[in-house]
Amino acid sequence: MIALGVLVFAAVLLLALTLWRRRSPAILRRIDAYDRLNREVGLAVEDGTRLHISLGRGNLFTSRGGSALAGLAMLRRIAERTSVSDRPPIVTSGDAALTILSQDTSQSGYRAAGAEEQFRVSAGRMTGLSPFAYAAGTIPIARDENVSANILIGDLGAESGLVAEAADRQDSSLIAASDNLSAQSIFYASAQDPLIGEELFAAGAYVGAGASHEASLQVQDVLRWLVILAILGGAALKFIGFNF
Amino acid sequence: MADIRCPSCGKNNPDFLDVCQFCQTPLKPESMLHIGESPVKKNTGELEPILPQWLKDVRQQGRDSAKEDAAEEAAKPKVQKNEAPDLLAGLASQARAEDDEIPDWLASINPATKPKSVSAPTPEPEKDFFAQFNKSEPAPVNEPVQEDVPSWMSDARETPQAAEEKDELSEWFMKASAEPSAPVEIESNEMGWMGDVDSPSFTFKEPAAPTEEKEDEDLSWLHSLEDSSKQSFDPSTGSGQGVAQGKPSPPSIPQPDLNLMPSADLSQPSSQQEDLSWLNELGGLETFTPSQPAPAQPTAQESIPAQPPAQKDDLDWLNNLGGQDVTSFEEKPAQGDLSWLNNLEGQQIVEEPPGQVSLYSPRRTGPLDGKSNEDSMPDWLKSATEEPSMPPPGALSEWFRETDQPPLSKPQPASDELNAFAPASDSASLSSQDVDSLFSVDMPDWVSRPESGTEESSSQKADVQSDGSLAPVDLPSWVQAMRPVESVIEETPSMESQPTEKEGPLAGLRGVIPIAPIGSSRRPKAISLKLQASEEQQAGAALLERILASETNPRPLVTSAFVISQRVLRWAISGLFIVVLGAMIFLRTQNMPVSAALPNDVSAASNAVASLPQNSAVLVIIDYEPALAGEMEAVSGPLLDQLVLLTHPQLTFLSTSPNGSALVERLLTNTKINQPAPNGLDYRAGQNYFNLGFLPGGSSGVLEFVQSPTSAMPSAGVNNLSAYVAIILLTDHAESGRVWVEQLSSQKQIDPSLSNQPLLVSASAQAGPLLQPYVSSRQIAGMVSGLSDAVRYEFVNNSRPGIARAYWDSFGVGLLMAIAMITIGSLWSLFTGIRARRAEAELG
Amino acid sequence: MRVFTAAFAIASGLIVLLGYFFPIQPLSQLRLILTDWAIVIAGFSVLIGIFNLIAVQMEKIRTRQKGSVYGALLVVSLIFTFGIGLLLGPEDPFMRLAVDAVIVPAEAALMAILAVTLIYASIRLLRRRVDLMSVLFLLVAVLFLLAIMPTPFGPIPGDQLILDVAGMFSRGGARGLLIGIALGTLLTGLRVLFGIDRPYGGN
Repeated sequence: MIALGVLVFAAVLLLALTLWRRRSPAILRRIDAYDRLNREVGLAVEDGTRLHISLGRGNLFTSRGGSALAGLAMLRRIAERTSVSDRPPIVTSGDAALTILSQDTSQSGYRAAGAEEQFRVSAGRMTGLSPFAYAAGTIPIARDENVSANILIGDLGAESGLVAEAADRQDSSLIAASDNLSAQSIFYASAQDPLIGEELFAAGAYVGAGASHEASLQVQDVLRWLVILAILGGAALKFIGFNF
Repeated sequence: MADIRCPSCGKNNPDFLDVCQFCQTPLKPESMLHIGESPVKKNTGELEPILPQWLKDVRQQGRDSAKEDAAEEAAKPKVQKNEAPDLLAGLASQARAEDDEIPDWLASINPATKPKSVSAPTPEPEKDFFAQFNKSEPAPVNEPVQEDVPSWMSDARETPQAAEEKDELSEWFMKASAEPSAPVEIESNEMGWMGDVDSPSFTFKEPAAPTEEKEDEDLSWLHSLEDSSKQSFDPSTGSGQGVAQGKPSPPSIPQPDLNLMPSADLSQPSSQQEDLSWLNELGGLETFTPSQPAPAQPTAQESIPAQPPAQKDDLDWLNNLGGQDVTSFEEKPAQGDLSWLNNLEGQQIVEEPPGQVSLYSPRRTGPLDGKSNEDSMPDWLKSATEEPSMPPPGALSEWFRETDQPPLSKPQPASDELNAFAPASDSASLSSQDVDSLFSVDMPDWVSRPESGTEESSSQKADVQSDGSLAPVDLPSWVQAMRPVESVIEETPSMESQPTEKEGPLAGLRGVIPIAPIGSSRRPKAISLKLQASEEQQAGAALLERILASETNPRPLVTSAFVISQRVLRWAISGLFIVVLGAMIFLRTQNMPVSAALPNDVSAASNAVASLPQNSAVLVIIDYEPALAGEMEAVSGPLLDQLVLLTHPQLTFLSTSPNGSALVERLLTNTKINQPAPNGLDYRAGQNYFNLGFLPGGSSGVLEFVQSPTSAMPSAGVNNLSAYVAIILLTDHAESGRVWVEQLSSQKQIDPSLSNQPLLVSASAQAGPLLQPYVSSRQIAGMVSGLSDAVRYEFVNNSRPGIARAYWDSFGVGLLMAIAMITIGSLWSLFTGIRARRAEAELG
Repeated sequence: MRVFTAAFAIASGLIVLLGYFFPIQPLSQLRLILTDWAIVIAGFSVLIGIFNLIAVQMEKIRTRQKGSVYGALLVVSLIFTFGIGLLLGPEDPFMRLAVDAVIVPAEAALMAILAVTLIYASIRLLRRRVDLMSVLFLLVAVLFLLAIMPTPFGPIPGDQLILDVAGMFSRGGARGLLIGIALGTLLTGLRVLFGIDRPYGGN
């Protein structure tokens, strides 16, 4: 029931803050990775190069699907902005369902930009069913497809180190975020601007996905404080001998 | 024709143009007089030749009018007395300081007028020319005959010596005065020839009215002289140029001392002609050939016909006065000699080149000294020596001088006056003949001679100034601005190049209407359509053009070298690992000691396995990837080996990843569970272990399986999860363990029979730390994490199966190598990074 | 059509969610049905993904792009393995040979390359970014490696202390990260549940 209560509270708070942020946009703290992301998107359009967006191998049936959905929200905005580019972005993933969703999301972006005829189904690809197979299938794309920036966002594991290495060899930009701690440590050592922890879920807000994404960040902050209070409170109660 | 290149548009233009015909840019800016610039002082006398003809005509008209006025006034009193006009009234001697009466107004505007005291003392001119004829002292005749130049004329040439020399003319006059002379009537307008001297230095005196006595004089000799002069008159010389113009009183001319002139018997025309031929010569005007021919100027030929014939008869000889050689009475001098006039000025006479015809001939006057000279000078001559009341036309040039010279301050030679109208650059081109040609009167050399050359002019100026000559007049700035610029004037087509008008009122004239060259400033200035861009703008435009052009240019492919430092480092690391670790594996070294103390988590797992009942069903969940199969097999081997060895359970394998089901056999093979005895535990598929395969749906699938294994996996064969006495999870990521933990926890709350069902986890090194809290919370009964736990567990388990122990030494060496590489490499990278940043900072 | 898909998605999510919290029969039954449908669709989507993989490689082969040879090898091997698996079954030794001889070694090799890559990245970390966190990162990594490294002389003294202390901080930090990720996942799910985010083409 506690979980249900937290869920309901989060839902109500999300709706309220969404309505509020539609009137007054939030002021977000600066994240260098997303600044670089926005700049790389513009440069790719001007240079005539393409972006490589990898959503990882997150299964929507697992909790890893959340990071995949965050990646899809970002993909929606990037696809809309890069629809006029000579080279459309390539979206890779390690899950079949995620591949289908990525194709559908890219098409939505082209439609919103009025360039639906520019969409190609091959823009969304499944490169492998296993993590290392997915990494092995993603490395040639980062190396041979005239990619100027690699955006890895989603459920990625240790195998993402190979993709980061491939991006580093091509001197292309790498913006990576994962819900996997191992991947985060690898990204910290490999990427120029790594995203740690829940910064992954701020992608939508920083690319202008909408007021709901900004509201989600605020709800997360509220819930985080609640969790902190709960942990400290519980630890204190446990310390004093209150068993619950 | 030479072309001038325009500095603006770069196109060629004819050299006669001053502005570009395309863009209207001045071609010779340095020679132009621009607005705002202060004009440069110039001597107006130098600009005379470059003046347009129309301006010269205007000026000449002005002079003529001035002369006419002067002549009228001068002639008025004389007309009443009906006496012969003082023909030599204009030839006033500047040396005669006592008798020269220069009006103040004339002296003020006539800088060339010399003070009487400065000039060499000359004898006072006779006020009455004819008075000297009454004198009984005849002058010796022979004297002037023998000499080339009459004494009185020579004296006039050398002013300082004039006083000392004996004037033969005066003697002549004295001799002639003894004879009655017929009155000679000369109209004032006939004195134009006298007034055609454009020099303020010339002063004319009003011809003194001949007295009654003069009327009684016998002037037949004059007539004879006139006749002789007629015959000797050469129209080509242009003598008497100014006579026809009817110019008024001539400028002041040092009047000769006619008293010094040899007397002649006028009653004897023939003899007088012979004797007085010198007079004819005296009246002849030297013809000057100016550098710029002035054909428009009335020549002596034109002027002469204007004279009335009778007067011509009477006065032509006067035209020759002063310009002839005295010694040759029979001769008809082609040119006059006005050098005697130079003597009066104290200047050196400019010898005229032979053959040149001067418009007028200088008149020689006698030594201007001695009272006898004064007495011998006829009245008419005396009057002629008087300065005219009216200023000479040349005096008007003072208006064009910039500086105002005080009157009588520094008289300047007549040449300075002339130089006011001569171009400075062209001063050398004007010779004395040119100046003389401009005038129709017998002008002395010092009057007609231009200030040629800077040296001569400077010397003359110095001499003049030392003698108190007039300083050049500075033109007002507004006049100077109006004055045509020298370069423009130079470029204007000369008179000779201009065609002669053939019809119309200007027929026969040349240069009246100046020819405007093509592209002159009279045309409306065209606006250049060319974009005026600065160099910076042009550079920016060129840069933009290059950028646009580079857009279509193919970019060269950036290829990196095959051997670079990064690849070498990777190869080195890989090679070291392969060589070292491969050797250790190949050698099967087991030198690394193993601790017998089990970690708590491993001990709990071992205890849990030991407490399981015999021949029970155990669920084994394989949730790792093939990439970590080696580690997982090493980690999970001791646990499964102990489980099989102690309890002989029925193993049910389930996989939540697609590849997991394919790894079951490998796991059992490597752990020697399905190996036949004595090497293995002889477990057989379908009897001892079952492989359920892949469980889809992730968490949902796990939940469903946990709730109803049969519904999720029909091949499971059990209806409830409690049928499994234990659940062993083999995973390489914490997420899977968390899912199973969470689902089982919720199910345990529903099914109490699951409360004693242990969950054992065999995790890789990367997942173990994350699952540790679950172990601590007893949600996981026991956990074997990583190779380190496995080797200890294996050691306790009688070193079965031995996979972990085989990797232990290589694992140790590998870790040691990794630590060394990371440490050394990081320090090296730190050092090189600092050095690179320093180099960049130094470069700026 | 977009409204229908959005409505269906929202309804399905609410039913499954409520079914977890309220195990009442209709909701539980519906939850199980929807979950079964999702599993089936997910399983079938694997085939769609494989078909997409083949199509991309075939396009690469047709346009003769760089690496098209490997694409052809992939397609051929896929078809061959699929056919053998249909004919012989996944338990056939031939299939087991394919797994044991191809899949596992290949992925193991990639894992080994990953180890070298991580070491190389650690070496160049200070070249790329020199700050306190980078130095601390490397220092902790080296300490952990030292703590777990076997030596001929036995474990190093204090290895357990290092593991406990450093482990405590690492585990605590990891826990915090995971909580944050969980919260983010929660809000992301709620956005999808409310139809704000429609990755299924509704946006």
